[in-house]
Amino acid sequence: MTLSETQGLLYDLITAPRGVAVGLGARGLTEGDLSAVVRSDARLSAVDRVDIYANMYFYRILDVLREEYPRTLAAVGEAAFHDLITDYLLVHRPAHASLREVGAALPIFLAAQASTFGRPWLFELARLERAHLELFDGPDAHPLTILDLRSMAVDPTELAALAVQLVPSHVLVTNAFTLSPVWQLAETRPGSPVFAGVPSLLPEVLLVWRQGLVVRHRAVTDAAEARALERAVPGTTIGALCETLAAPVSEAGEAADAARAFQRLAAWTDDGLLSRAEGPTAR
Amino acid sequence: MSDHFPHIGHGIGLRPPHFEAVLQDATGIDWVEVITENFMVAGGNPRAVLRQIRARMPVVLHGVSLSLGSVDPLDIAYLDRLATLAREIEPAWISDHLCWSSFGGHTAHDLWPLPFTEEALAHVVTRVAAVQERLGRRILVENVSSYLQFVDSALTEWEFLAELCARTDCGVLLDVNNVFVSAHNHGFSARSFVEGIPVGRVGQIHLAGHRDDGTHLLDTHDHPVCDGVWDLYQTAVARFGDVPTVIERDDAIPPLAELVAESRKAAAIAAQGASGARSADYPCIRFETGAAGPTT
Repeated sequence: MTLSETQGLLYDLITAPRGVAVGLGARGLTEGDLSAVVRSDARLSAVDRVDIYANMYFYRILDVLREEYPRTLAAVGEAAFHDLITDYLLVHRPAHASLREVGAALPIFLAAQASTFGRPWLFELARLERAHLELFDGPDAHPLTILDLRSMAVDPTELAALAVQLVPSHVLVTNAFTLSPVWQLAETRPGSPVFAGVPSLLPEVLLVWRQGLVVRHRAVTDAAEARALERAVPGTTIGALCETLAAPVSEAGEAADAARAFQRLAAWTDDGLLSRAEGPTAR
Repeated sequence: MSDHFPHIGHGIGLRPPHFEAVLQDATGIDWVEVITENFMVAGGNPRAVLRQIRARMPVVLHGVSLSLGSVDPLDIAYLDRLATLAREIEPAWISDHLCWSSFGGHTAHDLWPLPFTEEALAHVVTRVAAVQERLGRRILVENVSSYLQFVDSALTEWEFLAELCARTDCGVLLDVNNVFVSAHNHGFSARSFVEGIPVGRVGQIHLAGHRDDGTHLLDTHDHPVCDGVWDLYQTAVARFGDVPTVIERDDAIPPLAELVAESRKAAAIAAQGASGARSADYPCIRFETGAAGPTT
């Protein structure tokens, strides 16, 4: 048997979803055939020995995904999560050198499986967990501080023309469900059944970002802020953002709108959300 | 091409639960080994911690995904990311395993054993040579724990490793616990394994704990180093000298002090058993501040 044939056989058997013995049968092979490839002894048969690797393959991945998706796990329960990952690995076999990427497609997979669990919000919960994970070790940035802005405010024209963008480690997530109750339940009472806090079918937009080394998220409830967040891409300026944030609200008046815009901008800098634009100067 | 593996003392495998503790007090830790893939990320806490640690002591990059024995093509993108990380961190050396872990474009995230045949040897020789060429440095190749052997194997594992070193000029990361585990599981002599590795080829030693599952030993890295492995370590340092040694723990991770105590025990055994300890002299890196944002 060539090296390639040996590796092909073992890969198939170790990753066979219903175990090595069944996988062997599926290839039309017997235990005797495997013993001609893998040594057996009085302690362990060839199937037993391959089975050790099969268990390690699955449980290593399961353990990683349990850590990466603790709330999704709590929502479906241990047994269902085990079955979910079994099914997931049949469709999304690991193909990246980093174990961190094994679970990258779980939210998408859940989107197709939601009816199985009767919880259509599960996909959104998993997607939010994945966003936290990806931003945890996403690109670094040098966020602007409130002192930076104050020092430039000496010349308002210069401040307004400052090209900015949101820090790269951020994402806006639009959900059909309001996830906060289930997220907080799992955070404050780990181990509690998350599905006890069923989210309501009310859409929400979440801003997820990394402040320093900590990943946070919060709901974006203000329409002007939502628009400003979408526009805070390379090419915008402080002035343009202020205009968006100062969009009139009822009869509050221009001064109140401007004050609100500056408050919001200050909050963004406090949160470490804004940085100078990278690349060509924005206009 | 960097042509030696410096003596940098004795250290630990650094895992996230100990990041903060090592940054607070690294007394008794000469250097750390990190799992390469965990730091092949864009930024955030892992990279910030790695830079801080590297500014204080030598770091070794220990990979689990090179898949040196796989018949799949080498993952060039992975190698390039590794090379980039190495340029930034300047590790004392880079290591990975004598195993395969991918097939048909899929990754197992495990360390699967090879048949020790001439065909496999020629294949691994080609790949180790290609990796060393791409990285511009010699690497260390580690023996893995195994639970199966192939009927076709014509060489012992130590003969395979020795020949791999001779043909590629790579070094060996001798995992003494893995020798102990595999010897038990397959009924060969652990001492024969150690005596079969050429003196001068071993650049690093691993020590770890394992679990007894009755029919076999499982390399779990969730226990302290057992007496049998310490005995074999004495045999190894008597043959190879005071080789830089790391204590690995990946599960049931104890307080840092326990790992440091094991590391100091290894240092004492190595100093006693070897003909004379060599001095550690490896420069630290001064990184530009601020690139990683605040550091914990």
